[in-house]
Amino acid sequence: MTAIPDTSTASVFIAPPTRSRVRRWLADTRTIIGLGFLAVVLLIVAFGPLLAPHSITEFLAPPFSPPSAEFLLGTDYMGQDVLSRTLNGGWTVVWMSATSATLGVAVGAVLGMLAGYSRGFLDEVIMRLSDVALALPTMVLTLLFVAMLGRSLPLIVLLIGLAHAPSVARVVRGVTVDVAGREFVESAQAIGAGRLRILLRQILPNVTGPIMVEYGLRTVWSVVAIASLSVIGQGVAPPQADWGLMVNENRVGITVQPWGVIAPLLLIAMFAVAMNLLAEGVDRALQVGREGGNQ
Amino acid sequence: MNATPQAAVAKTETTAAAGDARSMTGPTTLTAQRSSLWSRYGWILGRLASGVLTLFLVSIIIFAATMLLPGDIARIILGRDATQASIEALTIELGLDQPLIVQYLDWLRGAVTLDFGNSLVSRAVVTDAMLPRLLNTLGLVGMVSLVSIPLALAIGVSGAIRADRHWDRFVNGASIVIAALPEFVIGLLLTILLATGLMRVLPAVVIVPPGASPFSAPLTLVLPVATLVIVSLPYLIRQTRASLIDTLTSEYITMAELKGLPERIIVIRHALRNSLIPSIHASALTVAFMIGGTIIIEYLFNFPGMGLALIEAVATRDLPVIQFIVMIFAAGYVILNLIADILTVFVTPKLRTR
Amino acid sequence: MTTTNEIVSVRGLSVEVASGRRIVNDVSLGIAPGKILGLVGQSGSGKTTVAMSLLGYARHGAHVVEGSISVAGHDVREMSQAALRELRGSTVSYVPQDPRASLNPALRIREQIGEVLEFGASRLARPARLEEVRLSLEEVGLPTDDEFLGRFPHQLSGGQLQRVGIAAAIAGRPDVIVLDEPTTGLDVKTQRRILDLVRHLCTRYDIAGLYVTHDLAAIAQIADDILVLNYGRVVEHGPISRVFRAPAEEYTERLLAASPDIAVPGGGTTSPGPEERARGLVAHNITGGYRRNLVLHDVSFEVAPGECLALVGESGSGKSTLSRAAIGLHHDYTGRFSWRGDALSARASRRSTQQVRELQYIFQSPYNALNPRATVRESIAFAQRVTRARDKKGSENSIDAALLEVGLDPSIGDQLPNRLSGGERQRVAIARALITQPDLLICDEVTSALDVLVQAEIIELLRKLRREQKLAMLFVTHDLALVRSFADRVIVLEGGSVVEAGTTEQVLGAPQHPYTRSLVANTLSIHEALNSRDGAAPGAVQLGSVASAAASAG
Repeated sequence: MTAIPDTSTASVFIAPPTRSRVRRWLADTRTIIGLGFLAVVLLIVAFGPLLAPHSITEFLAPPFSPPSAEFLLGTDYMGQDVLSRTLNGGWTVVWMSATSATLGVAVGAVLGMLAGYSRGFLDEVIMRLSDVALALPTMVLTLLFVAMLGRSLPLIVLLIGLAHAPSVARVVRGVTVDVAGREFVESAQAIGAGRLRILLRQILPNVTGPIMVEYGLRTVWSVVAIASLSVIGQGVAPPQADWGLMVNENRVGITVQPWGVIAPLLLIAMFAVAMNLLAEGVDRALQVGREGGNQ
Repeated sequence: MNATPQAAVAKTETTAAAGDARSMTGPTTLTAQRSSLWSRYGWILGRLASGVLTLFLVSIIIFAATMLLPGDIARIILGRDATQASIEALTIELGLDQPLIVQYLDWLRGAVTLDFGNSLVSRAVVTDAMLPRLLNTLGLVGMVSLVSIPLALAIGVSGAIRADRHWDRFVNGASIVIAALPEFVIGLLLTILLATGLMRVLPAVVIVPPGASPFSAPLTLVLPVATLVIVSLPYLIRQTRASLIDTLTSEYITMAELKGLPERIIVIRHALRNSLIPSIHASALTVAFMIGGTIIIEYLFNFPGMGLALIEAVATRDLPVIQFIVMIFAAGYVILNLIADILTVFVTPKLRTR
Repeated sequence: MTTTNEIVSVRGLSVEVASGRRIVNDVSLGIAPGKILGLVGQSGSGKTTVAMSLLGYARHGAHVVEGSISVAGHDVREMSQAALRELRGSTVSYVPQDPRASLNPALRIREQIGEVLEFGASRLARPARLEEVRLSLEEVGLPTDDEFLGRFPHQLSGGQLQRVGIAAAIAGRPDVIVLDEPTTGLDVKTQRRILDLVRHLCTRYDIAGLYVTHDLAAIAQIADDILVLNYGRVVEHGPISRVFRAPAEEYTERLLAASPDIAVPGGGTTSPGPEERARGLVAHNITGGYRRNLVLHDVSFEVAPGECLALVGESGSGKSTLSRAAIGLHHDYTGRFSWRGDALSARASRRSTQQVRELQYIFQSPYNALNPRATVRESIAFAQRVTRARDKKGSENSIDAALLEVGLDPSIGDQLPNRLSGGERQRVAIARALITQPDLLICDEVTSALDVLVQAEIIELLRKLRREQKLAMLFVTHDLALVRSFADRVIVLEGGSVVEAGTTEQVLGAPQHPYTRSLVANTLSIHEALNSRDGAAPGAVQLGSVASAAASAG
């Protein structure tokens, strides 16, 4: 309210994610929806295969049969049961996106913190690489290497993860530069604390929030990239059950039997939207703490 | 292809640019102003150089990827039945017996002069064969940009002015959902809605006779354009909204209120003039991501553009075509960014004036 | 003290925030045309809220619950938004604290001054507006040519920006001006000129001024009356000379006692001998800066054991770079530092643990000096571990002892910094330095972010440490008044060079160098202001170049 020397307003830029902030995150309706969606997807991935009524690779009825008592979601282009394939088709996209996001965030966060704290050469390299990462969209980069090395799921995970790393590094670098310029970091430097000690004890606790947000966002984009690759036929190969692949296979029959497309489509959407809601929620909870935290 | 990059990336993007600008402009006291004329152009030159460097790094990645191709390129080109002699002849003709660095420099020279060689599949000159595809994609992206950029700016501004009211909350929620959705989800949902049993008002795919332009059948373009518009909205809306809200809480807006200025003048003259500057870069990024997004949209709607060409080339391992398309995508990003940099300099007094 | 000719009259004003907390409680004040009321208080006292109420403006979430606000015959509380817009700028205008943030970076000077006349009561056409803009600029002593009118804010200096802010405030010929700490962040010379300008304009055009500040010296210089606020309540209200000479309230007395005064002698008068000095911290011919941009030129000084050397200079003088170089945070320099006769490495990380322990640094901002994610105890323990400063009794004891030493309860140790006040944080920062049992503290503007009363407490703490622990200090500051009461010796930096050095009484009592003289002469002093008031007729304030510029305008 009153004229306070302006140092105070900048003071809590990065607020500690205290218990109250976690509570605020959980109190957000959007967080609850996100957790709900995520639970649905993960339950299907975990228990779906046990619940599937039919085989996923067997010709059971004419292709594109509409829903019936036996085939609740109808059949697909090969006359296979859509419901069974849907219940079985989530595992690949979930493990692949989680792994590539983890890889990208882990590599990116380490590089970003080092670059943001040490500046200099590494800093320059990361800025360049993140420009390259933006100039080469994940999908383009992945297609380039898949064209050369052939279709392989671990390769796709690796490529998408590495494609994320420079951008994550850039974000983490930005926050780290901000934290590293704070006087508490200088005070640690002034008593001769080593680089690793300062990075782990003084800086890391203050950049975990943004790293969590990045993790959520990177998972979303991994889902998008991985599912899209399957849709254009460069991801999971038939006859395996996979949501993205199902979309591609059953697209031609969309006018007669849309369920073969709709079911996997909705689940992919739920997973991606869930992760985005959760990441957004964390971001909002962090933002709130940026003002008025010191009185 | 990333559906819609969110605040995080964009924030660093714009602040990074602003940060560079600030460090180049230096202190703004009267004594330091002599040097800033140089720095204005110097800054743009620096951005140009960094764009060229980016393209150079992209070219290395493309070439390195090509080198990873298992087996003998000449054999792949000539097929299994080729004789050893003809393979050796082609190896020498393509320079494949040369050291890697020589091969790379040869290839780079070709790339710079837009000579990517011939397609391995159709044998046509890559640049010639791809030109109509490039124009189709540019046309698509152009149409989408004309709709989505003004729309996103308008929605973003309207949300910020009435922040936290119903409309703003709705836009926010919808943005978070749409931002997470892959392009194909939106495309297929629109198809199910408008081109199938529900409402058969639009064709589900673009069907054009070979050689004809897809723009000759406007109705077929509605779905791809609509999908890309929806996909490209959230990011720019959020950037615009956040930037305007930020500006509206700044001290000079309070000051304008205390001067007794009408609200309309405060928003238009004082707030928008500053808050739309970051939207220039956000718009450029939006278009850049849109270009990436065309890959899946073109595949989905069978639109004869660069994205579809890339998917086809990947399926047939048509190396020169892949190299050309990847290079063009990267160049598109670099050029858009450069345009945004220049525009930003010319609308920011602090960067423009002595 | 209600007089009939008051143009501003506030009665029983109370303001609450959304939570129901009263931030202003039953405040009454009145200002006559041509007079200036100084509104003084610490942060959180509600002074800005009271001032803003004259413009019918309340910060987000705050609203007036009781009382009346009358300005030039208007009942501000009853006015519609449209009527308030007419009122603002033309009847009451506002001069902000930070002109750089309050001027729109994208608009030219002429627009920002002229737009007050574009809307509101006057609605002048463009050519007439331009004429008025030129008049206003002339009035505040700025150029009036087209080139200057076409400038953007970033092309002006801090002092010029504040003059533009004042020009915009007087352009609408208001009856009342509200000034919210308008000289914060300006150097002493510019500050004095701005104060003289405001005084002159109010007197000349019969404008009633409300001057909001935490700085009693500024009020003594400019105001006719003073109103002291604390926690939203009026503590004391009366004419300057009465309140300053004979404060009726204990709180006012404490404020006055806490305000250091440059005109009051009290600093050191003796210098330690050369051998004595060489045993402390010595800077040998430091020249350095940032890449090619040199900010320090051949600076040498010594701090003898137990001595307090003040390093004074305005912003940009290089004093912070110098102190950071001394502690090993800034490396880009030639020359060297030595401590107890041994050379100090340029980097803190290459100094011996003992050197690190013996030299400690206190930072300017208490808000940034502590890791927001670490408790007080963790922050101190970190310093203890890094410097291996463990005593035999175990770490817990000595952390508690350090907290007690700086006047904090050890139970505060489990708090995160955001639960602490600014003063408490600064004490924690000092405790963190004391844990290594240092012999010399480098204090970089340690009180400039604190309120006057808190500043006095911290200074008292530092005095105690000097007395009891024989701590030497390198005291870096721009505040000459503080230096006079605190330091043994002073060196004055201007543009990175030492222009004057000597005992505090020599340098501040009888400055030799023109720069030092100008600094000392322009530093505001309550005593001097009161004395000159007695000598001169009320309202006739000494005017410098501004007066002549204004005279030619009139």
